[in-house]
Amino acid sequence: MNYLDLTIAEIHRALVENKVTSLELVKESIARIKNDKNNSYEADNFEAALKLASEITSVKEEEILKGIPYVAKDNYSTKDIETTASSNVLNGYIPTFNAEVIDRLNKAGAILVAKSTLDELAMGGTGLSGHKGPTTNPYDSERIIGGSSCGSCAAVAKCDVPFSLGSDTGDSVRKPAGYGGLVGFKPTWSRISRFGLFPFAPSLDTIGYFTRSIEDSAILTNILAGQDEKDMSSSYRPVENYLTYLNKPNTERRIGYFKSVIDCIEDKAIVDSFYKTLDQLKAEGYTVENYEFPEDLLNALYSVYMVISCSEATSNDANLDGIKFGIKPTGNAKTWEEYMTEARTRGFSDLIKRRFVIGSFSLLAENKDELFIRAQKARRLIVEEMERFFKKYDYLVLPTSKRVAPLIKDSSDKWNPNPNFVDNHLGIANLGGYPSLTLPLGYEKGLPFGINLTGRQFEEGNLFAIGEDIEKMTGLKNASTVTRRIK
Amino acid sequence: MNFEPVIGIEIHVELKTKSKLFSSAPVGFGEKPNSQTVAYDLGCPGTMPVLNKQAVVYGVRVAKALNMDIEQLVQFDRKNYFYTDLPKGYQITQQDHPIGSHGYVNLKIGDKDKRVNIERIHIEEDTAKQLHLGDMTLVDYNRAGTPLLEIVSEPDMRSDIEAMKYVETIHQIVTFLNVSDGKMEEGSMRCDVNISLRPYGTEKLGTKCEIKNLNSIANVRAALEYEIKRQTEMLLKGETVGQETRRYDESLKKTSLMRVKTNDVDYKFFREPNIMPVRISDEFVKNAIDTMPKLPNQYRAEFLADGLNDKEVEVLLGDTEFTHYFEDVLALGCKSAKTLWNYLLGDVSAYLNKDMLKLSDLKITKVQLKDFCNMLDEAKINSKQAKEVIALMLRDGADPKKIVKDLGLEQISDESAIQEIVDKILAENEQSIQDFLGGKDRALGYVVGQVMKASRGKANPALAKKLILAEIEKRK
Amino acid sequence: MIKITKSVIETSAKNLLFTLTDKELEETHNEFDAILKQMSFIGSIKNIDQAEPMTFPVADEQTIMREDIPSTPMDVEEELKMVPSRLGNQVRLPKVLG
Repeated sequence: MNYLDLTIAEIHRALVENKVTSLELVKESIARIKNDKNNSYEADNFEAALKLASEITSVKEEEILKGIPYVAKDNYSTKDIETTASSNVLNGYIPTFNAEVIDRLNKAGAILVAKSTLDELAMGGTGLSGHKGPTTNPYDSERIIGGSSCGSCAAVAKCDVPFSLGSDTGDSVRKPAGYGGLVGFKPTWSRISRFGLFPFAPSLDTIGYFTRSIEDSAILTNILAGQDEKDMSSSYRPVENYLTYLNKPNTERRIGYFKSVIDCIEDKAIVDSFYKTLDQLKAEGYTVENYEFPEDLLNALYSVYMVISCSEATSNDANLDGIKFGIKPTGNAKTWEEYMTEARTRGFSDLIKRRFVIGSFSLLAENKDELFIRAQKARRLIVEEMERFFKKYDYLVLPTSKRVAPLIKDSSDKWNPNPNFVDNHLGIANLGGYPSLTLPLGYEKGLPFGINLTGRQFEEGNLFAIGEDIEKMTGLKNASTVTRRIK
Repeated sequence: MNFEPVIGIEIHVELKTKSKLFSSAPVGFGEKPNSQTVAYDLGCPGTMPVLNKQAVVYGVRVAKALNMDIEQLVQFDRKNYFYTDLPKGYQITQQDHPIGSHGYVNLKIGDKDKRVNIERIHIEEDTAKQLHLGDMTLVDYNRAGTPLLEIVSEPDMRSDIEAMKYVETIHQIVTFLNVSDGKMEEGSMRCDVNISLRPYGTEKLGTKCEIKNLNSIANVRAALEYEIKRQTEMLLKGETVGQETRRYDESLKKTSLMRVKTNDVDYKFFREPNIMPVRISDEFVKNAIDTMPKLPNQYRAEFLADGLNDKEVEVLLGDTEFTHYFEDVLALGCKSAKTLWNYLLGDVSAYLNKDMLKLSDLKITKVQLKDFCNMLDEAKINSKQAKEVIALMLRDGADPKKIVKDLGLEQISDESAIQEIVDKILAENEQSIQDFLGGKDRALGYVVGQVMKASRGKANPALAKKLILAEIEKRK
Repeated sequence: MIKITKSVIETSAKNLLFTLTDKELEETHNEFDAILKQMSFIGSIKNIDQAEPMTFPVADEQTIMREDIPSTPMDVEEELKMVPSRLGNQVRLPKVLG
């Protein structure tokens, strides 16, 4: 057993007690990253990481992240480290500043060892569309690990690091977490500063992270949450100590679920496991009830998400024109339009271009009311319905996905012609800005599947409390490709 | 003329905040290219807009000065288009919720009043600056992100004079409020003029032409004068006026085609998702207004009450520095606004203009100028002496009281002292007395001159004249 | 709403400053039928047009703005290091007209 296979809390304990040094951890992490077989990584930070780790001689009790290696999705701005968002249009872009969350983690003593792959510009859900090619699932390399935070998920699933940064706009941390058997968490929109996160859809984008335990997730939230003057949308609400919600009885105990969503799942193992968990929760004193969420709203979830996100994305990525940074010009362009067109044509994959066309189309004056504004109205109605839900219940609990990770050959990021609301319910937490947590529920034929919990805005602590209860029930704390073998 | 001009004007004013609208980079002018930027100004991914409070304060002040409704929920929108001077590929502006709406200004043209309604004012980011050379264009991002205030009038103006007066008025307001340098020749104030013609008495608007790149208020008027003539001639000939964007050529004194206006570009406006609505409180608004500098109209009322006439007031208000200097000297206890005006805009101005100096370059203090003016009004020196004194003051920065003392220039106003001199001169100039009594008025002036000479110019000339006349009366 | 023809897609791409290959154009055109069909689900939501559009998921209003204090600008060399094409201290482009 290697210390790198443990949780943050356990590794920290070992560092404090001098059972392991940071340098040993970082060296091991680098070795594993170099040996990566899942195409999980972009640029590395090995030299700087080793230097930082070698300078750490002791770790105090309260320095909970000090000396611990981590990986960040390549859409986080990292000073002096090439950041591409897995898109050719940003090849060679070396930022001059760190994202706020990177600064906070570094200040806490955590050590960034590498950047991880993503679906290009974070606009995908399979992990297949990054400019380096597909990122595969460490549990089965014929399968996807999901996206867009594919590399970050793989890194933690195979214990290259104990935690990683991802980002979640529609489900991009919580869905892969299900396929990768991890804890994938996104807090309330505006709880954590988005400064330095390359924007996909700012009204939906949230910082998210992968860990292997609920406690670890709470630890990270303590460090990352809070107002940042560089992000005007970040919340001024006071930050709690989220660890105080653990290891004590949970006071919020009303669970709601959508039977209409679960009825769409054909995989019996997942459905049975889910209902069994609900029964166990009932036995622990939770009330559990079905909620009839209007079907017309559920049916529209996919389109609402796609229209809003593609429209905002088209605008956000208009800065990628080859003039100020990124892809080098060929020198053939004779006019400025040719110059920009060349950069954008060479730099974007066809999937991204299609998404931009959709976004642009939705915002055209003649379509805006019918498409974009209507989607924003639908968002309002969906959120109003959720507010009604949250008056009766403290949590929405649902299976993360209808199946275990699909095969690569069966996956695509094309516009889904037959979206099913079971594929899209995770987006509710983005539309409504709610905190949401995926954690491992079980395995089917060796492949993980997860359970997802969503709570009211700014009630991250309560989510960790119920998450901890479920984690105890499943016994799947610190699940990974390493520990599963041991199990 | 058969056709009525219908003119609307859009004015962009660069706000003189210390930092940019959404980034903390410094705002400057004429600095080395690309030395006044931070990552946001280049549109680097992950950077975010953070609103500059002072820009909002300035917006509130201008809205108040223009009699507008102030929007207290400050919101922004994205205007999406591609261009080489637009680093993010969109501009953050206020499309749906401008900070000010439904305002107006009153222009005074001759003795007539003209009200021009102002549709809206809004805050937005400026673009980068481009330098077009031979086969390439160079881009400097220093200006990118500087706060702009866009002021949009209703098409209420009906002549080139009205348009010019409107621009003058806006210029005066923004410079007096100290929100902008307002220098059209430097680009800190930019005017785009829209003009169409229609037959008098009709409602329907004609085809609109836009005139851009006007770099002075005088050119605004000249361009419109030409354009009105051009369009009138076309319409009289039965030709159609094209929808165009034109520029004014100062040397040729005519407008020429820049480009034909195509269908309106679709900017795909939507709410800026990184800036949540910012509520400015009633207190914030009140504070911004209470602390704002005096407006031209306030100065007008004050200076007229101080005794200046309309013309004198307008000359003074033509320059904010002179206005403030004038106000300060009055406040220090200068007794006569008229006297101060005469010397400030006379001798002092001439002195400054000779070497292209500014008021701040003056060697004298405001107190010294006040003392000077008061000495004159209290008849301690006469106007001839004053000319000498002010010249020395300006040259050396010397104190007027000291100059007068050192040169022995104190005007003699003591009656008995002057009487003595008068008696002496009259005794020596019997012929002049006779000449004057005989009807030669010039003789009086000669005698006064002799008294002045005998007193080495120090005698109070009015008093001398009075005493001389009294003496002559006695000898009738 | 306008009909989705290949020409509309091509114009969209042109306005977005990239070109689509024939294959990409074909695929996008095919996708659009599915897209429009699902967008119509939004239209069938009960009371959709009475709702207020929502931009921000959190309803909090901001009151705090940045003080007007300038920061140190980026070092010119550091800034221009990122730029693909430059001349002296400026960013260089092919000639821009108009």
